[in-house]
Amino acid sequence: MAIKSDEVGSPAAEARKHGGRIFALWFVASVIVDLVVWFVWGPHMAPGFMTTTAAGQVFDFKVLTVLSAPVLLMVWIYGGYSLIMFRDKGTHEDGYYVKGNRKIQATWYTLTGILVIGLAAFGTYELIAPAGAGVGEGPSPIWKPNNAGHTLIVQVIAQQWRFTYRWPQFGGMETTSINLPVNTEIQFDVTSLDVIHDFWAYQLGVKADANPEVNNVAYTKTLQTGRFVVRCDELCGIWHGAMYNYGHVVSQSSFYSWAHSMEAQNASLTKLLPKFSTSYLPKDNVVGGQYFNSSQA
Amino acid sequence: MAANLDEKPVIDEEAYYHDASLGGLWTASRSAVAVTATAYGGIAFAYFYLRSLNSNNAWDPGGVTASAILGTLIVVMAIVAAVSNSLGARRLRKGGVVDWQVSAVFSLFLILLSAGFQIWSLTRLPFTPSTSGYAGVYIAFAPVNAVVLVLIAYWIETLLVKSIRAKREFAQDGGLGLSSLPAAESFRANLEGLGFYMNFFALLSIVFFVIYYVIA
Amino acid sequence: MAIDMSQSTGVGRSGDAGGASAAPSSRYRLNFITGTIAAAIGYLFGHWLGNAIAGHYPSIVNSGSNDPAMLLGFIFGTVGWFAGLGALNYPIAKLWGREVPLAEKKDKYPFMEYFSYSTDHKVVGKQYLVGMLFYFFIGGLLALAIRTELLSPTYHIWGPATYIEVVGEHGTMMMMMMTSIVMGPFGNFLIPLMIGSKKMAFPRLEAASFWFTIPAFFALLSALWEGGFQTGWTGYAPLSIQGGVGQDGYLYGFAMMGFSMILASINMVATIINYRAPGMRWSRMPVFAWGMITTAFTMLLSVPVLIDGLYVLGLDRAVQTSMLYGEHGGSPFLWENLFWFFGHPEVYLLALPGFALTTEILPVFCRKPIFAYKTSAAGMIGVAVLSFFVWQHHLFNSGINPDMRPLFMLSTELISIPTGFLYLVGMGTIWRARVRFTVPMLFMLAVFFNFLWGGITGVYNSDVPVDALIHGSFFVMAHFHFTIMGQLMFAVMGAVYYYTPLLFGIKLSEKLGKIHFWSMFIAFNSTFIPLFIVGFLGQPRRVFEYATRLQGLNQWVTISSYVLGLSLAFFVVTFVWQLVVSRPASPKNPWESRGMEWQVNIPIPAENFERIPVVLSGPYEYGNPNAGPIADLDPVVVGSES
Repeated sequence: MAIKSDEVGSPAAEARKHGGRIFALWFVASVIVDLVVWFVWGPHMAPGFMTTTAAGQVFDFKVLTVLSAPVLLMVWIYGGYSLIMFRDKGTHEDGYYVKGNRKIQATWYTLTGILVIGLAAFGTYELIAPAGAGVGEGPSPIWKPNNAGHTLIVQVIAQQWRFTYRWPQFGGMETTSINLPVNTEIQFDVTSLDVIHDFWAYQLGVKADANPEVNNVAYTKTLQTGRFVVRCDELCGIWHGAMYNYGHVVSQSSFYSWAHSMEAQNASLTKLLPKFSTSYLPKDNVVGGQYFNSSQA
Repeated sequence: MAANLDEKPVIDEEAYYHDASLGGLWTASRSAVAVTATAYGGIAFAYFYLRSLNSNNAWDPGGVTASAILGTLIVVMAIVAAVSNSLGARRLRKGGVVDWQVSAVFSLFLILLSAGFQIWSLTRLPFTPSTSGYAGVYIAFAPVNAVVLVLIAYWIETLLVKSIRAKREFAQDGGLGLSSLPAAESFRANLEGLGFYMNFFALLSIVFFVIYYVIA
Repeated sequence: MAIDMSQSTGVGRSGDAGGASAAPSSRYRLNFITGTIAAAIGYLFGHWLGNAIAGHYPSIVNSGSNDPAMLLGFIFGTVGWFAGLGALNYPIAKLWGREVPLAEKKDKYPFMEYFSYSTDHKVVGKQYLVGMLFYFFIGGLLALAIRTELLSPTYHIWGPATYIEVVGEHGTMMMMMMTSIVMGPFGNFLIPLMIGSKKMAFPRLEAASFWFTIPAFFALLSALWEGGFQTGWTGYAPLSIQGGVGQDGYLYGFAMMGFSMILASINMVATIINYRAPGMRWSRMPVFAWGMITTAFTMLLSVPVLIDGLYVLGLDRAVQTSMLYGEHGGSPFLWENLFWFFGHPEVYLLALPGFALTTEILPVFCRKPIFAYKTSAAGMIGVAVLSFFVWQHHLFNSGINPDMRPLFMLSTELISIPTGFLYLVGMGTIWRARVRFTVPMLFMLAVFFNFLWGGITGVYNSDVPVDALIHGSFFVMAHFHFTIMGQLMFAVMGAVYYYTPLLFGIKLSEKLGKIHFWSMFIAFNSTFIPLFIVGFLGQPRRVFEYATRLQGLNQWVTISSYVLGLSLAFFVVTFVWQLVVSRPASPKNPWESRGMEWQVNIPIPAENFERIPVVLSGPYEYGNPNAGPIADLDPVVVGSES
């Protein structure tokens, strides 16, 4: 504090009196709230722990909440205290004439700066370490899982208004439902046949835009079995709200038996599909519609 | 303009607002430059973005460009008009009102002609709009450029007519270029803004000439 | 542009001193009725022309979609509108070298003046206020329609097509029209008063900026009758290229609003830079003026890019270029970049004026100077500058430039530093204040409360891994409703209560105002806080079907939103009643403010200040026993003629 005087009623004494109370209230409240967030809410936080990326999102959300709760509480407690203590008590007089305080300002700038840069560094680490954090990385991903050799590739094909899935490691078959093996690295190749959609597998912690003619790659690793929901998350037209389906993470053995039986069952249809490719032009899929009248182009 | 607390401040109100209006003209012409630069910048962004993506190798498959002859004429005329106007404005400040008027007529003619050429170029495209990325961004650019050229022509024309109308008003005071009457100062501030804008536009035209015809 | 560069000081004429030139005859004053007629004629002509040109193209025949006819109809309709308003008389007369002087300002205007192309900044401010609130309430009704659909996850009140139309209309209405809800009414009305000027730099640009909002509004609204548009306010291609002619209403309306913003900004920048009274140094300028000039600069440098984007979209639709479509050499990413390059500065165009109002009004009721005045100006400038470097945080999932994500995460989080400045200023200002809990003050305090939710969740959005969870969900939607409605609209409401004495000469009832405030504040938070949870639990935006487990929360939100709607309806009724019927008169400077804008008489004289004032001190010297008057309102004036 820039203020030196110790007299009662001096700015420094006032600052100590009120500031001490505010700090004490804030400190106690922050500790309680942070403990509750970390230990009570944290273990049950959405979207759960079905994959590495979902668990990473939970961890990040938890860290951000633990850091931002004290900020929120600081403003509330300071504000609430000040509004009660420093209200106009009917005397209709003016407040304490002060236009700034260099030390307080400098402290504020420094603290917010450190907090913000720290958060950016944390976010960057959490983005890069788990191979892109389940976010679509475009056609040539730069953050990949370490053992890329043992990756299951699933192509997600979005179109108005459904998702289908192609499996290049199973003869290029195309299915309308999705099952995934547990404890496996998954690579999603997300693309679209018409407009922009978004593949959001909520419990898997994966989200990637499905762009026409673009392959958007996202990675995750399954950890637990269970059901997950897939929703479209970019507005894609009138039935956007109805564009969802469900998938399951199952044991490896039941996955492979499912996949092989589907491959055999679909073999005759797979022959009729366009060749597997990371993206498709609308003309590859006649049903997908054409924007430009052929006689015009 | 610091206030003096001991005695009543004295203000020449008319002069104050006259100076403010001159400043307003200066600010407005610079803002117009900023807005134009940003608008053209968006088009240039589109150009380079699509060019670098080159989706389906359809950026500019045959290396076809819009008519280079018209493009060259347009940029040359924009430059000549800007130069002629700034030379004319220099003569005006030395009292040569008629000199500036001649240069303004010349610039006006060139600018209108290049606006016409710009529109004409759209009727002589060697491609259809959906042929390529280049075709798209050229068709986006040409009407914008034509509109800006017409607006510049409008600006020159209004100044020109004003200078003709006001001839008698300033005859006693050394003419439009030297008069210290507020209206003459406003005129010169407006002309200065026009000159700045035209010089900027000439540079912009060169950049877009390079974009659309040289490196396409 | 070059049009309308008229000066408020005409030739040899200076407000009250000159008087040589006659005002144009007011008997034949054109107004919105002539404008509407001319606009209708223009629209019909343009539509006919479009059909004549493009009607026979195979892509148009029997497709139910003739984009050239729609767009030409809009363009000619707008030209007709301005011609019918009489706005084109001046630029056309200039072609003959005739300078039509501005109409004389008057103390009192006939009612029709408010429906005409007025160049008095006080009239334009009122026009803007009524217009913007009207647009806001239309957008609000659409929001209630959305919430009604979401009462049930399975039972549908609207069909999915209508639902998407309503969502798009609501979003676009709010995002495009509300950019002007502070600069339009309060900026135009107050800035000359605050900086001690009798006039604006370019009154005709100012008037044009308002009258552009009306074709913008109707073009956008007309989409409802043309099948709407499916894309929401973000207009992502290629969906926006596929859509029916409703999409043309979207892009044309948005572009017109862009022109309005540019014109208003040029006028604002030129006025604040050049028309400050003697002694109104930069260091004495009200924070609101700082907010307006930063907002105006941000608009000048971002809105043209939006217009480019919309223009590109319009060309793709109407003349079949393929800039936003991959197969012929375009890319949908082009739209995403152009749109968000504007789109992110845009959200600060909404937020900055709110903070400017808040910081302006807070010290009056704290009876204390602003804490760290320079920090508040620096905060606004910092936000404005950084806002140009964050746009790709909207595209973290899109597949664009993954290598740039750490950079955009950093730049986005850096914005919290200048935003934090504004909290420092607010918190410092209430320290040892003597807070007077008037209605405007309650609204300003609510701004800090609400924006805190929005600001802190903004940090969540900028963190890429967390964004993977909440992108495109109701979490984000709640976030920006807190920053826009919770901040901007609360600031606007507070400012309406605060500035009605200046605007209309009445002082709104504190009692009714408190009922409005508390109902709005509680209902607002009750509406949007649950939406954070809804989004966090996995509900995407803009859906009409959602998980049944989220029905309870959604119903709670819907009912809260009805209460919010009722609260705003209560405001409208009480406001109109007090404005038209009871008219509780306001004394001069009822809030005991030191601001320049309050030093004038109520009602404000035609020329604002009788003499050009000389500013002697800053506007926030509350509690300073040695503070002199803010300005000398009666200095010695000499003129070349007097």
